Amino acid sequence: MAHGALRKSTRVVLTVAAAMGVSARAQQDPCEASTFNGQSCQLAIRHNGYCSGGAWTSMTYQWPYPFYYDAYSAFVSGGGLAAPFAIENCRAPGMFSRGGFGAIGAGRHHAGG
Amino acid sequence: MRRIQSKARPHWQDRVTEAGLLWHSGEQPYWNESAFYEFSAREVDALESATNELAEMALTAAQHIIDAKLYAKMAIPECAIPLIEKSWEAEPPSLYGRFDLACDGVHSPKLLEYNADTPTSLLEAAAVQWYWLEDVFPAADQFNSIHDRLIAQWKALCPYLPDYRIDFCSMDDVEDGMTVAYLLDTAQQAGLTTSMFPIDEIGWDGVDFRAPDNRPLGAIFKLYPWEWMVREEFGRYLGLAKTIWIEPAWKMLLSNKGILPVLWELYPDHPNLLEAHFDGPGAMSAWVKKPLLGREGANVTLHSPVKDLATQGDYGEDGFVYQQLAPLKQFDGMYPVIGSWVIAHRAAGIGIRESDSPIITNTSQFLPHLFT
Repeated sequence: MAHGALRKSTRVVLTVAAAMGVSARAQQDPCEASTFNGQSCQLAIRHNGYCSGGAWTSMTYQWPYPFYYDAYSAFVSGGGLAAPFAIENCRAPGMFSRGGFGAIGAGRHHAGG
Repeated sequence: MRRIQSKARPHWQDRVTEAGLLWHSGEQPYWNESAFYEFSAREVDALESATNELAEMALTAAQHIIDAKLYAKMAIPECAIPLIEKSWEAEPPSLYGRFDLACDGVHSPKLLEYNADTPTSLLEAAAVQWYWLEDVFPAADQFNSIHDRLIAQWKALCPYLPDYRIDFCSMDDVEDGMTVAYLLDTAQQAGLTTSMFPIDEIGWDGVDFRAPDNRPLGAIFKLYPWEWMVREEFGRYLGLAKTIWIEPAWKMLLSNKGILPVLWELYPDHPNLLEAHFDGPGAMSAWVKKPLLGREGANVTLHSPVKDLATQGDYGEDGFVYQQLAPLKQFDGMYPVIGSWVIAHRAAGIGIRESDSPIITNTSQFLPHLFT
């Protein structure tokens, strides 16, 4: 065998490592069954993304929240062990909302007493 | 303590409006200077002393609620607990509060409730009745250093406020708005940079709460109850942002009527307290049932052997407390309640609201006072 042939792989197949990689990526998603976090998942769906590792990850979710909750429930009832997504905060590009305070008071006389 | 008839100043409406009291006359007059209350210096001393003692007791009670985890009894939602405990440990800035006291000039003043989070009737207590005194009884005195004490407290808070700035927000309502405008005035006089906007214009960008001009909010005074904030859409972000809120979240413990039975448990038979319980009236023959999170006298039931009285409203779904009926004395047919102000947890002055009913509601009237 020529020495040079050892210096370059002809075919690389990954199984375990690839699965771990997918799993590691999945661990960053609050709607993924194995890392499900209900509050973060709802926010991620609403804002099309989530914070992970201090950075914003854009993600479009095709289904409404109950779908992901059901998937999580099935995962856990099937013996799966979930490691809940850790809540982080970071600035989402273009994500800027107002009107999140004041709704209850709007239905009252005034807020002071 | 006396209620004395008096002649209103000519054009009094202009005088109080100039001071910012735009809501002096609604469907019925709110500001009423056709009479005033007169106290003796000794009675004022008693009010001041009671207020200072109640302020210290309230802080002890807050620590007890946290230690004993009484949150569920007070209908405080779980999501609010980390905010409360974090703010209690961090000791963020606190500005003011108002004890409502039953006072008849005979018995010791009795605590009816403590509005520690969003007290109003501030402008009329601090400024409007002071101008009345200067116009009508310039030689007399008034238990009222509220204005000076507010400015002093803002100065004391300056080092805690990023960039020496404090923003103000409230509902888009004339009374709340003017109360906040008055506080903004005192903050400016203390040298702080300020702005003011409706609370529904606060923004959230994923990291910071933002002002309408998109500045991150470093410190903000809000005239809006914590129990509403934590239940609203942005409530979930309160623990994430660095914003300093005045009043701080732990004031939720004191503005909740559950503080009344807690105080009674810690200080039974204290001369400035009325017996109070969470679960029912017990052996009390005359009592008042109040919603834990009620406001402006709504959904209050008063029971005595000779009379039952109830007000309507939207409160009560979180539960009630039962408080002994205070010894109430009528003055010219009216029931006064003393609003005793604390600035930085120390007594600063009083304002008086009165009603023809023993339950003070948002239709009560504000009367000035003096002491001799």
